[in-house]
Amino acid sequence: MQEFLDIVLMASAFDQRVVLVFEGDGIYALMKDQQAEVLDLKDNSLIFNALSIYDINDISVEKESMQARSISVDQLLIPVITSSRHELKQRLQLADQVFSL
Amino acid sequence: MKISLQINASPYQHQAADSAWHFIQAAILSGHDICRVFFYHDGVFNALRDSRPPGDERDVVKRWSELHAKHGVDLVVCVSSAQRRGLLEQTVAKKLGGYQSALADGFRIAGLGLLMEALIDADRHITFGD
Repeated sequence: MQEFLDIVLMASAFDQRVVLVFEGDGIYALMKDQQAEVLDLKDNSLIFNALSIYDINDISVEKESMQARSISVDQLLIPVITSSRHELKQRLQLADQVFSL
Repeated sequence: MKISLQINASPYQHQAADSAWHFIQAAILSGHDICRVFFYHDGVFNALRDSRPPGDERDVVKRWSELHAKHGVDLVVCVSSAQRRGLLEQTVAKKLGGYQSALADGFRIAGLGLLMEALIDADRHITFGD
């Protein structure tokens, strides 16, 4: 996750338009009230909250993945757009480059 | 066509490094320009100087070094990925008390900025390994 966020922030620093999409278990990364210190992990919520400073505001979660895990948007750290698998597929096709984790 | 590559997986366990190497051979033969190979995540192990596979096996690290020597392909290892995994280049090794340099010949160490530069500069960026 850390090395993936490094790419996200670096792309923004190079004035690239960044669109973030969370699907599958990736959605858990956005959950509020995480206790990263229990597992001796770094708390990524600080980075997610700072994304807007980097002009990264286009953040989507996949509707089907949210439903399958019974997660609602108010349980997430940051404001997101909920999009269907079909919509996200179309958006990914518009990207020049796609990075995934 | 200008092509940049990114390698995300270590050699020997996954096919990524082999596929990438064969892809580059074919691309160069077809007259394409490989402007950079960027090693990220566990891909940094492709640069491990002390790698010594048995004599009857392919030597992935040596293959990269030879690729650089023969075609001048820019082989860039991400500094933060590398340091996380104990691959220190000479100046950092001296500072942190590691080996002389963990990087094989032909590789250089740099930051993610060089990945972004390649992404912007190249006509195609192709990632091997997840």
